Amino acid sequence: MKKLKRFFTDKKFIYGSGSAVTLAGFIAIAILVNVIVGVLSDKFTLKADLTESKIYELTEQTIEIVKNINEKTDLVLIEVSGNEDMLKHELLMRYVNLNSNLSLKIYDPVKDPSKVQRYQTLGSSISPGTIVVDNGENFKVISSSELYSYNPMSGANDQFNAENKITTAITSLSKRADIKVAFTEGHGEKSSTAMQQLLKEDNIEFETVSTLSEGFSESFDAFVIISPKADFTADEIEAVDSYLKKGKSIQVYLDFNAPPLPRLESYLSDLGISIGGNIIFEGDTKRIAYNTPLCFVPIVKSHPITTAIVNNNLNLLVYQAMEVSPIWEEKNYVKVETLLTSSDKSMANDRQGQSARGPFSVAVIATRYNNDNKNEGKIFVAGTSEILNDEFTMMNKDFILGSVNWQIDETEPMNIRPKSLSPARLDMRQQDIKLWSLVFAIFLPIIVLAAGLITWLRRRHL
Amino acid sequence: MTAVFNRELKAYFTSPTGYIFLGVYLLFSGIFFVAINLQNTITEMAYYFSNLTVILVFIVPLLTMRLFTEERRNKTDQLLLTAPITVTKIVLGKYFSAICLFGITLIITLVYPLMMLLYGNLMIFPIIAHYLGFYLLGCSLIAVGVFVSCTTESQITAAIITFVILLFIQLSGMVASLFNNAIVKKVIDWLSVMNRYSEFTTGILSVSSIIFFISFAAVFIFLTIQTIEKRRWS
Repeated sequence: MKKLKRFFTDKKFIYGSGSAVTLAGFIAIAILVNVIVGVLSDKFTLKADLTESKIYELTEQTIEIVKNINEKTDLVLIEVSGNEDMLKHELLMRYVNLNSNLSLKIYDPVKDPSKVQRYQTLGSSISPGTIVVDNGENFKVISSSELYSYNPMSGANDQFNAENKITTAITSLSKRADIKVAFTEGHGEKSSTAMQQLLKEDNIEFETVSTLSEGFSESFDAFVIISPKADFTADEIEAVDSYLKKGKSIQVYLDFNAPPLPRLESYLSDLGISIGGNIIFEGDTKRIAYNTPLCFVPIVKSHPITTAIVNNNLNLLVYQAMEVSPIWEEKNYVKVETLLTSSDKSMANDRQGQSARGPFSVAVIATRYNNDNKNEGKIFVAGTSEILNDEFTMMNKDFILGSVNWQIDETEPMNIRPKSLSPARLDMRQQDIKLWSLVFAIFLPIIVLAAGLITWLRRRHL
Repeated sequence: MTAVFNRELKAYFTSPTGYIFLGVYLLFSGIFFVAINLQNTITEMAYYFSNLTVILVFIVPLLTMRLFTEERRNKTDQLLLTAPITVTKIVLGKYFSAICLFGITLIITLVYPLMMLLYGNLMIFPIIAHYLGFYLLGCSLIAVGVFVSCTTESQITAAIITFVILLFIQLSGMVASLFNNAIVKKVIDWLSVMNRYSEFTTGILSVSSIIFFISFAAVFIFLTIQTIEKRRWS
């Protein structure tokens, strides 16, 4: 008992316990202050964006859209622990802070493969850096390459386009529920499981419709015609025309091997699209794939459909392509634009064995509008259905989905400009670089070290 | 406190320590600046500062190793502790002298952005954020070094222990990724000085990060005060 009493009255115990309590109290206060400031900082964004291009600041357009979200939506960031991208974290946090219905989830593909697997889609692997907008029913995957624009000249990502992509995904997700596409049948059409899968993964519903008996129903936003072997009837062509006049869309994939389709081709010609009836052989060896000039990487022209492809220098693959070319650029309220072409070294042979020199258009898009500039149909025509081949899905996914989305998605394109990431350059001559390199890496440290040596020697002899 | 501060700051320049710190820092800083900014002709200083954090692990021990160990070795700590000045003032005086020298070093490196102004447009605000963040990071790591120096009598031991702790802090992001438990990971991430610093390098000036750095340094300074106080009654 005495020992116990002595222990508790010992100077060391009294001072020690007092010191421990003070220290614990101090650390607790420090943690508390940090937690409070952290919460306030998240809630009121007590952060200043000091970047030149204001990378983290959300536009008014985004703020308005995000504040109006009524359903629970997850912004999922896929990234490996220890390799976090602060840029994406910070931007996503700013979205989440705008609306309590939004939450940020971070999944590590190494530690939570099952969670990440859920977002795996055909033709796109979920790589670290991917952002997914998920409202519980549907989701939209934005790959890392879509978020940045790569500049091959500088060898770095020079633009950050995440806000545009995320806000577009949020808007499109809420509007997508009723979008439907039909695949025609009854003319010997091919079916494309790859395209169907891509549509499914992009939350677009689809059905197969016999247009001979059911016509072109307005309940569908677009019809897709893949490599028909038999021509369309006059009634069908008339139905197509009235369908398009209601502002709807059609995609036509034609093949060189299929028999000629005079009615369909004549109708397309009225819309400014000529079907060449010849097969293209690529002559530029750099563009040839699989060792055959029939399979090649086409030149991608700038268009809203191809923005992601052009910005990121992605490649497509076409095989056994037939020329489909614009007859005019803009005439009779129809604007025709080329999307893909072969190189100027390419050749094309028609069915009679006549050859011609390229470049040749491989895919075109015609937009018809009326006096009031109102859309009266968008027609996409590709000179090969092989573009939808399962083998090429990985490469052609952005183009296929890009064309469908541009045609049917009423979502207005976001007027959110990408933020520049490229640092300002120094306008220095080589001799300036050499001079300043000597000053900073050699002279400056040597002067300081020499001063230290002199001080040391002088004091040594005091 | 001013007397201790003046004495310590003067001591850095009357002994080789301060010059070695300055010289080594400027040498590596110069090499990084030349390799990153001049060779690539870019004004962006984020990569330069990110690389410099590694150098802090090596040079902070140089700056702090002698602060209290020397006093103990020369037995001048007894004089100091019996002087009419509180332990808090002694510790703060020494700490402020160390961060002042570190500040002087950073001010010298302002010649880099000044030089870049001659050759291109400079983004002033991001550079301010980089300097502020790096200075706060340095102050936090110096506080760790000050604490370690009061726990040992040998300068070499103090330097090695400080180096090991700073290395651990530097690698805390990797350590966090080793844990599967989300809470543990979050706690380590939250405590990671380097994570906080990366906010500054991405151009964000965050109130919570500034408060974090100040409180991180305050905790270690308080620990130092408590450790020295303990010597009085134990």
